[in-house]
Formats: sequence, structure tokens, C-alpha cells
Amino acid sequence: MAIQRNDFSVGSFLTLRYIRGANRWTTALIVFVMVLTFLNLTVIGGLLEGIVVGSFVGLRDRAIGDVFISAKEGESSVGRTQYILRDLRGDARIVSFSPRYSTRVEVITEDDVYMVTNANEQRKSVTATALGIDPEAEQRTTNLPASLLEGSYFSPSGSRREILIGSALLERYSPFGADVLSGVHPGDFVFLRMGGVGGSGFGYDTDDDRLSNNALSGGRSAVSETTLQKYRVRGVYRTKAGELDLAIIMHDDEVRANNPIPGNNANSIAIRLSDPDSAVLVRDDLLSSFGRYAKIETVDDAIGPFLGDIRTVFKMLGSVVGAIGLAVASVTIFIIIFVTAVSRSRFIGILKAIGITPHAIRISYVLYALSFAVVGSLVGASILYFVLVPFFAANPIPFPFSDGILYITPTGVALQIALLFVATFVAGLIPAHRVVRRPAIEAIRG
Amino acid sequence: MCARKAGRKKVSKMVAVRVSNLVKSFVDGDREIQVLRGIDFSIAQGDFVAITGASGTGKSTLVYQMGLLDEPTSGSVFVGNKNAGKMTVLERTAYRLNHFGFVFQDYALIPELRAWENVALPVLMRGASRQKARKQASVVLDRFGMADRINHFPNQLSGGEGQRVSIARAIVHQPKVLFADEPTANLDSDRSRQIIDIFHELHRDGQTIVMVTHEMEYAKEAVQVVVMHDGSIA
Repeated sequence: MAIQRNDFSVGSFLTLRYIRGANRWTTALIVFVMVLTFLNLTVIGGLLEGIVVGSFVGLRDRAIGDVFISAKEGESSVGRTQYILRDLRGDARIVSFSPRYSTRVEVITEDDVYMVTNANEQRKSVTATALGIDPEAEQRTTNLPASLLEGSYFSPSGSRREILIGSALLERYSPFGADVLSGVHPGDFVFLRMGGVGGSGFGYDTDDDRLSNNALSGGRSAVSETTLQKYRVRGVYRTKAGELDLAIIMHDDEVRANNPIPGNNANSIAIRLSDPDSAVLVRDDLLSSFGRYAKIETVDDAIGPFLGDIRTVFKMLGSVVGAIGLAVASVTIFIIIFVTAVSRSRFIGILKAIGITPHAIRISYVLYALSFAVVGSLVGASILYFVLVPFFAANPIPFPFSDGILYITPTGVALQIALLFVATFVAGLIPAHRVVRRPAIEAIRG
Repeated sequence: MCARKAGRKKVSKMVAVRVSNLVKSFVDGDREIQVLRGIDFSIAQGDFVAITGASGTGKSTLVYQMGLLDEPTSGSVFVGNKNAGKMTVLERTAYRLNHFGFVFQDYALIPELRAWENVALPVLMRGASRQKARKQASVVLDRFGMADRINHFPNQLSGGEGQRVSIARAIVHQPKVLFADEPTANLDSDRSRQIIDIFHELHRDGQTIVMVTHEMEYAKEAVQVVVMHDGSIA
């Protein structure tokens, strides 16, 4: 005989009475277990995924924007840059864009320049990329000032001969890095050798094994002024956006002066859109006009499948951890319902004796188990949305390559609630069924 | 059938329950214990039957067989004109719901349910709304002098009150047969008297009652007394 409406009516009637009659502390403990299970399901996976999402967001917001233009394969710069920039200025969908000009640079600290006096002594230096930017455009596009750890951003009017240095180039932020500088702080001077890096050393006079201060300050130049230039460190930044933190940032005209590119072409252009969802459309429009001259990608294209693969693996890890929690919760519910049903087996027999159907009795126990899942999910979701999400948004977990956030979606949470319900349903049904199927008279006699 | 008749002479009444050559055995290790040994017995509509006998003679087992709570080892139980042996578990449950009421020695009230909720259960199971079920339960409880106890839980009731709630639950849906298994065993004489009086009142209203009791004093008050001895009707 199929389950009837009356079975649900009596089942729910009994459930409400079981809840009312249950020990409050026991109920609170079970709800607590369900809340922990729910949070385990959502938070662990959400944090793991949040590491990758944080990295993605970091790359998009602090490095490459919604659409990214770079040099085509085999080219060194973005062709027809000036035409592209003119087009971008006229596109209402584009909030801002930042052309960047890059060149290789060798960085040497002031101490090393002055203290190393012997030609045979190796001078400590690091090789990096110098990125030339328009500070205002970059600020509008990637909000670079927000990534400053020390010092200050370029001033709107000047800031020539000043650089921002990526934290990954500094020993104190990257203690295990092989190619790092030590003792460099905002206000310090460093020497840069832009373009042609990898040539014949630093260009100091091999006849003179001393590099005099005089030589560097304008006297007989042991190190050519055009080769080794003195810059003041204005700030230290950390974007956690891949290789960007291994760069030196300066005014674009200084890079262009040291590494002139025909046609004044940029090496890349980051574009910020008013609606990030329109990235594909904007990309396609730009491709139709400039696809022959530049590589034009959305942020997803630019990042490629790598982060997506990591995200899938992290999601899987989160699911495994969640599944273990779910199994624990299922066993807990199973034991609770089993013990409850067994301890009430005589009353179950009496209910059957007076004509209450086994369906109704099973429903009463399943609903009883599900009530824990309902309350656990509600409390858990409240904690999740009103406490944990705001907390992790305000205090991201500082991973080396991203700011880990708690990444959850309504669909994901709904799915996890559904999983919890299914597990609870099964965990409630099995013990209830086992006890209810006993003949009434056996149950009455105990 | 061998029964001592007392009181009124029966005029061809409908048979409510009939058992034929009923045998019930239990297995205890290697031993088979025969509790009922080929019983033939019937209860007509409107009867008030007391089944009595010494402890362990099979009184309760017989009632459970007639009440479709248990299945016989062999033999048949007929309820109305249906052979219970051919019913499914759910059909037997439905039959109990619609036609039988049960009163147990220890009242067998559900502890989480208030008095009215215990009484309302069979009504709810038959499809009544909660309001209607509550109203019906209140009327029956009121009839047994329990109007001021309808919101009490079983552990807040005295033994007599608990048994009256149990009887109310058994008759709230107007069953054809009321089975009572030692309904006075846990009560003092005053409370027992009240319960027996309730049975008399119900019987006067036409209720068929089958009461198991080892107290001959109360058994004698039934219209028909069945004495059991060693699994058979004496």
C-alpha cells in the first residue's frame, strides 16, 4: 500500500511531539553536530576554492584587468598600439586601461655599488622586468596604490627617477627566493641597468678595481651613466598576481627612453570594463579590429586552464573532507535515531497495535532526523553568511600567491544542504525501518 | 467452544471475531512451547466476554490473535467474514484501526503525547483534521471525567486516569471490538471498580468487549466468561 496523506499527517504530528518531548541538551548537541557538519561541508571546500578564486581575482583586479592585450607570438610589442589606445578611449564599455612598456633590468643596491671595490669580487644584483606605466591610468585600472606595503605611490606631477619595487624581489618578503635584494627600503637608492642586460658586466673600468663615489656621481665614469642609473625606491608593493611582484615599476617614459620600440608600441595593455561579464564581447570586437596586430584575451583566456585545474583539485579535496564530515554526521544521526527508536520500540508496537501504519511511524522518525538537518542548515547558513563570509572578506587568509577568501555560491550551498538532507534522510530511515518492521506484538512485549 | 454463560440469552448476533483450531507455539531453544492448543471460539457483536485463567494459560496470546496483533502457528482467525490469514500487514493494521480498540495492562500511552493527543491518534490516522480529532478526543475524555486532564502528559496522570485515557483512545473511533488485556491489574480496587464500571457502561451502549483478567471477581461481571487452562478453553 502506497504512502497516504494521513501517514504524513500522523507522522508529522508525532514528530512535533517527539521534538517537544526530547531532552533539550541532547537536541542542542545534535543540532550542534549538524551545524558543524554543514560548516565542514561548506567552509573547508569554500576556503580551498577561495585560495584559487582569490588568486584569480588578484590577477584580474591587480594585474591584467578584464581584457588583456599583449604581443602576438613572435613579436616583442603590441602592434598598432596607438590605434588600439584610440579605440579604447572611444569605447563606453571600458572604464580604464593601462598600457605598459617593459624591458629587462638589472638591479643593484647602492651598498653593493659602493662597497664592492674589487673587480674580482662578484657584485650582488638581481635581474627583473621594469614595467613602465602611466601612474594615473594604472591606478584607475589596477588600483596599484592599494597593493603598496611600504612607502607611497608615484606623485601625479613628478616621480621621475623613482621606482616601486615588487616584494618578491626583496629578501624580507621572499626569504627563500634565490634572486633577491636585501636591505632595500623606501627612500633608499638602487642602480638600474636597463636594456641589454646580460652584456659585459656592469661596465665599470676594469683598469680601476675601485668604483669610486666620484665615478658614480658624475666624475670620470667607471660605470656609464646611461648604463647604470640611480633610482630612489619610492615604495614596495605586493599584488600576489604572479610575476608582477618580481617587477620594478616606474614611469613609462623612462622605460621607453631606455628601450625605444618603433611606433611607440606598448608591451601590454590591461583593460578594466564597466561590466566584467561583457569581456568576451569586448575581446571579440577588439579582435575583429586588431587581431592581426596583437594577442587579445579575456582574463579567463589569459590565465588559461592552470588555475581552473587547481580549482578543480581543491574542490575535489573540499568534497573529500566534506564527505568525511557527512559520513560522521550520518553515523551520528543513525545512532541517535536507532537508539531513540529502539528505546521506544514498545511504543512503536503500541502505535502499530492501535492502527498507526508503519509508514506513518517511519515518517515520524525520518522527519525527526530531518528536523535536525533543517535547524542545523539554518543555523549553519546564518553563521556562514552573517559571520564567516564577512569575516574572511575583511580578513583574507594571506597565502603567498593569493588572499584566500571564503568562496561560496548559493547553488553550492543549496547543493550541500540537499546532500545533508539526503544523508540525514537515509540515516533516519534505515534505523526507523529496522525497528518498525518488528511485529507489533514483539515490540509490545519488549 | 466451552464457555460459562451468564446473563442474557443470545439471539443470533453477527460474529465479530472467530478463531478456528487456533494453535500458537513458541520456540525456546530446542523446545517448542504450545501456548494455544487448537482453540475454537467466537465473539458476537455486543458481547462482553471475560477471558480468565491462571497465569501462563494463554489468555493474552488468544486476545492478541483475535486482535490481529499476532499471527497463529496454525488455524484461522476470521474478522467479520474475512480470513485474517490472507491479509497483508498493512491490511491487518487498517483493520485494527477501523474495527478494533486496545487497552493494555500498563495503559500503553505514548509518553511524549498529552492525554488528548494520545486519544486523538486513531482519529487522525483515519483522516480527520487535527481540530476534529482534538474535539472528538475531548468529548470522549470528558465522558470519562477527564476534561481537566486533557492537556496532561501520561506521567502527570494517576493510574486510574491513565487507564481511562487508554480506554478513551481505544473507543474514540467507535470500534467494533474493544480488547482489554488485564486492564485492572495495575490498579487498586477503587480504580479497578471505576474501570469495570466504564466497561459496563460501554457494553450497555452496545460495545463488544473482550477483557482478559485473572481477577475472577471482575470476570464474573462479564456476560460471557471463558476460562482458559493450559492453552485450551476449559
